[in-house]
Amino acid sequence: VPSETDRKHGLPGPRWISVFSVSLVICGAAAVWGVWDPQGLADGISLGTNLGLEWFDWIFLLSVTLFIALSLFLAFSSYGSLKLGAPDDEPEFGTASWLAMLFAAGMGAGLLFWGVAEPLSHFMSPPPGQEAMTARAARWSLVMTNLHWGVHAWGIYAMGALVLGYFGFRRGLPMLAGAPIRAVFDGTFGKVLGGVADVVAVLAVVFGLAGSLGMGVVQMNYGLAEVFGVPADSLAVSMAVLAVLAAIYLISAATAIDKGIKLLSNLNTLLVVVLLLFVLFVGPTTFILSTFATSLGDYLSNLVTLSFRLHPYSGESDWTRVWTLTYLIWWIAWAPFVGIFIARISRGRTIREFVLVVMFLPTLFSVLWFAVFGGTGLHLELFGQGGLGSLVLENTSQALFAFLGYFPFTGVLVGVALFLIFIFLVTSAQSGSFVLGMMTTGGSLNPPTYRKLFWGGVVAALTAATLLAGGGVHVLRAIAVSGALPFTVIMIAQVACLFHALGREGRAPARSEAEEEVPS
Amino acid sequence: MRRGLWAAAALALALLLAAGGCAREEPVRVGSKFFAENQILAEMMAALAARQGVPVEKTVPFGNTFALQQAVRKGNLDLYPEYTGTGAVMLGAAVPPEPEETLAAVRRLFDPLGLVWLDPLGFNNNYVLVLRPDKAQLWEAETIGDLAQRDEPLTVAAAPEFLQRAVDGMASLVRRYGFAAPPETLAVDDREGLYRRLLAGEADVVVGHRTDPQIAEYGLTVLADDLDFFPVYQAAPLVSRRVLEAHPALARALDKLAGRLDAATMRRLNSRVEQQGLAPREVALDWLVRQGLLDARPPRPYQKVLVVSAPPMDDTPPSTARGLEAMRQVFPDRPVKLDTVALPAESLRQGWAFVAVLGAEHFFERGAEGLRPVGGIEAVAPLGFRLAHLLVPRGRADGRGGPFAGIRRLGVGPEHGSSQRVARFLADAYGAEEMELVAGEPQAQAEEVASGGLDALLVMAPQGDSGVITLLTGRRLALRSLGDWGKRDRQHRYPFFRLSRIPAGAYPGQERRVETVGAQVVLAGPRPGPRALGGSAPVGAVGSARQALPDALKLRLARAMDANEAIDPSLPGDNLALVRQAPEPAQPLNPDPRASWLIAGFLAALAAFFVLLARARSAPGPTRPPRDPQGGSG
Repeated sequence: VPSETDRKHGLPGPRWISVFSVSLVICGAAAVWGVWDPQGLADGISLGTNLGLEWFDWIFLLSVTLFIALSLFLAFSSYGSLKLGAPDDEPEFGTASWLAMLFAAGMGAGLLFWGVAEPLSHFMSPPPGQEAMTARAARWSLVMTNLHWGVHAWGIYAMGALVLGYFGFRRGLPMLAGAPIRAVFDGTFGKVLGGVADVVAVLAVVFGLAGSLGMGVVQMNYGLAEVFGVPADSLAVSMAVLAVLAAIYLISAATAIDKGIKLLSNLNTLLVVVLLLFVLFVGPTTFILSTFATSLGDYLSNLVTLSFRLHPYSGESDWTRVWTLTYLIWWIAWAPFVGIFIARISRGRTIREFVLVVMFLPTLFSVLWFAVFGGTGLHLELFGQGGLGSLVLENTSQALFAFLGYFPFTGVLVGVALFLIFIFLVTSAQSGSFVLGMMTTGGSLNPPTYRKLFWGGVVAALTAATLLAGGGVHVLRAIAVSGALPFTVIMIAQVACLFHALGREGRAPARSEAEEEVPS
Repeated sequence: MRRGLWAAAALALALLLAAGGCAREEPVRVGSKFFAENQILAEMMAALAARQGVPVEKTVPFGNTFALQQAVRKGNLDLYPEYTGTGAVMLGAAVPPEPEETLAAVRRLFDPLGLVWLDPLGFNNNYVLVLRPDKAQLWEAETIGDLAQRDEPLTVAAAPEFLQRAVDGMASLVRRYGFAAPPETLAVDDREGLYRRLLAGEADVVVGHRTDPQIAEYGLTVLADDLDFFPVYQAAPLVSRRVLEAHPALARALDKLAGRLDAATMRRLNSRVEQQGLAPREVALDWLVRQGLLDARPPRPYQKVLVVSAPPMDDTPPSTARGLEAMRQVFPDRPVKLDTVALPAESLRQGWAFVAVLGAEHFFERGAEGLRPVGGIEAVAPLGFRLAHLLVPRGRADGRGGPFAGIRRLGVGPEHGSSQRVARFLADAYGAEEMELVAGEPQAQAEEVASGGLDALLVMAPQGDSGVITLLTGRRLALRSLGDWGKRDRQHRYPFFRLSRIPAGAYPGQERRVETVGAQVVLAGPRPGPRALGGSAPVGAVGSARQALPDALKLRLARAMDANEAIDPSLPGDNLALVRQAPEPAQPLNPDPRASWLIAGFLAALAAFFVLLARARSAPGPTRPPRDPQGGSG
């Protein structure tokens, strides 16, 4: 029976000090600071982030690489046959719908946004030691893009989800960031560290969500400007988009149109696949598929080198910091959020199945995605009429819309892209407010509506405040990744607790599960 | 359902067979010369032929006239736009002066070769000798004959082909007109480069075509061919008889163009390619659709114009042309356009312009306490250097009591232009705030200075600039020195102005050297404010209106401009093209002890955590969990 500490998830001290109140105070302070002195907030946060990236780059890279290695170890060791859940638990979702939900979790507006933009951006201004706009730069552009969207991203998610899933379904603990820590450490130390973990996770989700909502809204604004000619970079349009967005996800959080959102989300997945196939077959099909094969091979053969590469000798670590490390902390910032989602849908899977599927199938999909979108862009640049690369340099937000301009039925395609981005934003904001509600009610899988509404409101207000304060996207951006720095440390602690707990599997009372092959 | 599938398969098969049947027919091979006009015409012919169902294989551009002639005679090419005069001289025939006779003559001459001249398109594209109006005025040249009489050798720039042509080429021209001093020649491949050389003064005369849009745009003077040396060059399709017989529809298609294009239209279409940077195919299709010769346009590629902005200038300075050429070289696939704006820095910041051609003076503005940088822009590479030319009536050139003594009304060229901006700074620097600055057209203002309506005229221009020569010529104006700039603290307050001296004799009638100041002209790009978390990516790029140009691109631009001079250090910007990296200075053993402390602390905490973890005695084995701890599935 879990001890009383595991059930309690409040912080030590008086009753009113809880995860909810502490994170609320910190969010409020950040919001006030953001409105009062947006530049100061952005400067302060980015100073911290930049120093963190400069001094601790090795920790980020090594921990992520370590997460991947440990996940693989778990998958291939005898722990791999442990189930996330009781031994007789059957998977809650069928394999097909499990896969579909995984893809839906991983494919956000980001994949749409960067599908063309990132490979072309690397092609036009490549990493150190390469000449721009050459065949070599084209080849490496996809390798680097795959590095950023592939196994590393999914390794982080897999590890985050595995910890929550293991303690949640196998130990019956609430799905909270601090739960594994409290499960291992008795007494005040566990309570304090667990409480800190809970609060940091809430902050990472709130800030990550507010930041990406803000950026998504600005991007919608560009798309609308492209199609309907509304003013680009306009506060009024951004606020209007945010208002519509907030209205939809708040209403859906409060009422039963939850199901409608799920339907839209499924429609979204379908549309993404249709868009992918359209570009694949209307674009240079043979080139794309050769690109897929080549970039997959290049990625696999360079994976080990790239997982450890920081350029310390040439003094050119800037590129890695600006791209690779920023991506890594971006994924880490999302880990508490996506991790919960992935964990929740994976009950009844064995660790081996879980790790292999979560790490490699979405990776394969994104390699294909970038081969299709990036590959077509590169084909346009290398052999076609060109003009896209310089556009990406000019303004990355235009890339997708400009790219679609090369295809027939441009208007329809741009409309579809805008719709996709919007729905992605709605669904992530909606599930975000659910997760936040859950994290601040002790891991309740059915948080009260007012809590969800409350957090939805906080996120919307934080986004609006930063937009209104005129701080611009760099504030949003700085906010969005700031939660990740401390969360990396939390993740290391969580993983250590996971291994500690795994090591003690089968030692203690529950002898009934001796049929499982468990190492001593 | 199954029947539908069969039907679809049958249809696909039929289409494949039909396509195969078409493919067996020999396509018409269309070619063109290298320059824009010929490419546009070839694209039109190919599109019209394709519209009539004639299979077409395009090689645009194909080669120069010699290559094309060889190819059509050998049967390697079937159709290209040619000019009647060229056709005649290529066969070495004497050329009659009348257009109709030329056409009849070439039809007769080419018939035995199996080649047919279809009806002309409606315009002549004669060779013309072009020069800058100020030189034409200076040399009093209106005809080629006038030019031939000059005893100083000229520099004539022309396409390499013109230098090679036997009957109507450079050598024949020199012999026919009996040039007093044989001109030096300069072969330039592209049309825009040809005119740039002329504007920059590297060539005195260029051999262009009557339909070149640059002639009107730069206000150049065309010399009359007083000896009728050049034949008439009517544009017409030259096509092999074999394909005309194989594809009866081809003649019908090409006849639609007959007499449709006049010289003004052609000039406009050329300008869209050569100056607005659109693709010849685009321009051709667009025109055909407008004329109703083609019903629908094939899908239009995404062509977003790259804008180069510049403040209103006193003339078309060579630095602007150089900047535009560099942009076109770096972005061969994008249309590049010049746009004149009052606030170039703002237009860069807002992303309206991609880069700008700016004098150093545009990087600063007047603030409460002296100058302050306008911000948001940075120099990418130097393009040139301009000097302040203060033009006053000749009698008042020495200017005792300061350069602006006795000047109440100063002409400053166009509104928002560089000269106006510099004039404001100079007025401040010399304490001449009460002086009135009058904007206007420089030629008219020079006239006013001569007639007393204005006291002086300030012009920013490179030393020896032809525009300044034109202003000074025949007006009894002279340059006044900005003598004592170096005194007081002006050099510190206006760091971007550099002391310069115009040597005696740089301008006609200038007997003494003139002290003045000058400022660099640079290609400028945007420089957004302090960056949070890296400039470009991956989250950084989202939504920001404008990013700084990446270093790789700046480097390419600087190389394309052959930038060997550094950017003036008073301007923001990095000299990427000039950087020669010496080994970094030796760093101390530990460059950043704070990082060491922090990392040591972190590692200690981590170690403590693992010690605690090892001693933690909790974690009983797995417990069978309740299926839903809190009830409900969420």
